[in-house]
Amino acid sequence: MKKSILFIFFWLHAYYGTCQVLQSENGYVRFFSSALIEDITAENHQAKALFNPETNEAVFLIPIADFEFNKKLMKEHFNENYMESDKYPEAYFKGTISGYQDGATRSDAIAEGEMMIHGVKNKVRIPGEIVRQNNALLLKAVFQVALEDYDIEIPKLMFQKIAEEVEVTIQFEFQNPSL
Amino acid sequence: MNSVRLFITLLLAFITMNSPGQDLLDQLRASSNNDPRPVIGTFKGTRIINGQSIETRGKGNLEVIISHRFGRINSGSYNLFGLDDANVRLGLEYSILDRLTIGLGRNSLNKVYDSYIKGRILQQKTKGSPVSITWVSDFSIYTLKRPELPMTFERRLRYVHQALVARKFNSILSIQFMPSYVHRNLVPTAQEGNDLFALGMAAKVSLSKRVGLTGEYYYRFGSDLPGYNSLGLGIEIETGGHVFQLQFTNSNEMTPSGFIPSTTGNFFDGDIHFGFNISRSFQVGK
Repeated sequence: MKKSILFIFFWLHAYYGTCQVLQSENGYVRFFSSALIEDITAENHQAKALFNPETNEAVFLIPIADFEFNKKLMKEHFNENYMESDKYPEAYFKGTISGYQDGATRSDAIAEGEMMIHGVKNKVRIPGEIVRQNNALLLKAVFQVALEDYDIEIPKLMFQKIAEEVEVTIQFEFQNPSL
Repeated sequence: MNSVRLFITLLLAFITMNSPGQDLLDQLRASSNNDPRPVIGTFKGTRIINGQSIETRGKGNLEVIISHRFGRINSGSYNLFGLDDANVRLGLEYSILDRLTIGLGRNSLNKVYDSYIKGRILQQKTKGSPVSITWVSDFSIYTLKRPELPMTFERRLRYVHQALVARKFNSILSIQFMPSYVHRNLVPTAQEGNDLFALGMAAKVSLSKRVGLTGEYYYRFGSDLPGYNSLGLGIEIETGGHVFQLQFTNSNEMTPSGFIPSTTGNFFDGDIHFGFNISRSFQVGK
């Protein structure tokens, strides 16, 4: 009996171990907002993602405070006034990425699921592509985010007008030794 | 007994399993780095009311600050509650580095030119340092003509050194303490010493993301000091690059060598000056 219990324990572990989950450690996220006086760009190299090519499940996690701007004051306003990053420290996507073809060097993919920004969750459908490079999968997408959808306020009394939609670019690299 | 063991084993197996269907998100959260981050936006402006805040702008930032203090509110309707009189400070400050700012200003009252160097010594972090510390050394020249006195250049000089210590507790509350040393080469009355120590206290309470209430008080150490301790209450509004600060204070001067030792108004008697600081940030350098 003892042996069989142990067997169950290890078998369960071994079974689930075969579901290969790929991880991306230093994902890149950039957003771009065109504004009247000057365009606003910020980059984040601290985003993380997990992707399971067998089940198509994927999650992306982006720490808001790690967006870097070329002006210190912009970073402060972004965190304090728009994203309220002390209350909502992360943005995430949770869902599936379908369209990945095993062995293809490039496949069109669609991410479908739930995106959370500024504490607000929305159902999204984002087209992108998956490129195979050496031992890695490169996942890329460019999409628009309407600030209104995530309750990000643009105050009326602003010196610098900010666009209602920002363009988000993401690029995640998943190392995959089995490719 | 065996079924209990089996149950516990299965439970353990499921708990310890890296099951992908279960929350991948929690897995990511657990692996994300929790490095300490600098705490930003302790105060909206580089000023709180009359005095400096710990804030230093980013490298290459030029800040233009225009400040007014009107006459005393209790001077009555004939004087439009002080609005007939105004003294003005025109100021510029430039950030050489993210942590180092130099500034220049000119005050209409007593025709004082002031300059300062301001450096961030310690940055508050989410983990680690609980406070930010900024050092300010202020140097000013009183240029009002005083033909009745033998004024030499040395007698016109005044120095103030301050260690500003601030903590942002949350997005609502920030508190700052300002131990200060004032030295004036010439003092107005014989009973005053050339050296003066003071402890300033200030706070900001946010009402919304862009509007906050501020308060600032400087306690002077010593006995038989003339005048009053400087006190100010204000409201600040930030509009992305601009900071508007409207305040009520018993001080008439806007440089620390002026308002710390030489505040003459009694706040609680209505010797209150309405005033404002308007600042605008420009990125001029890389």
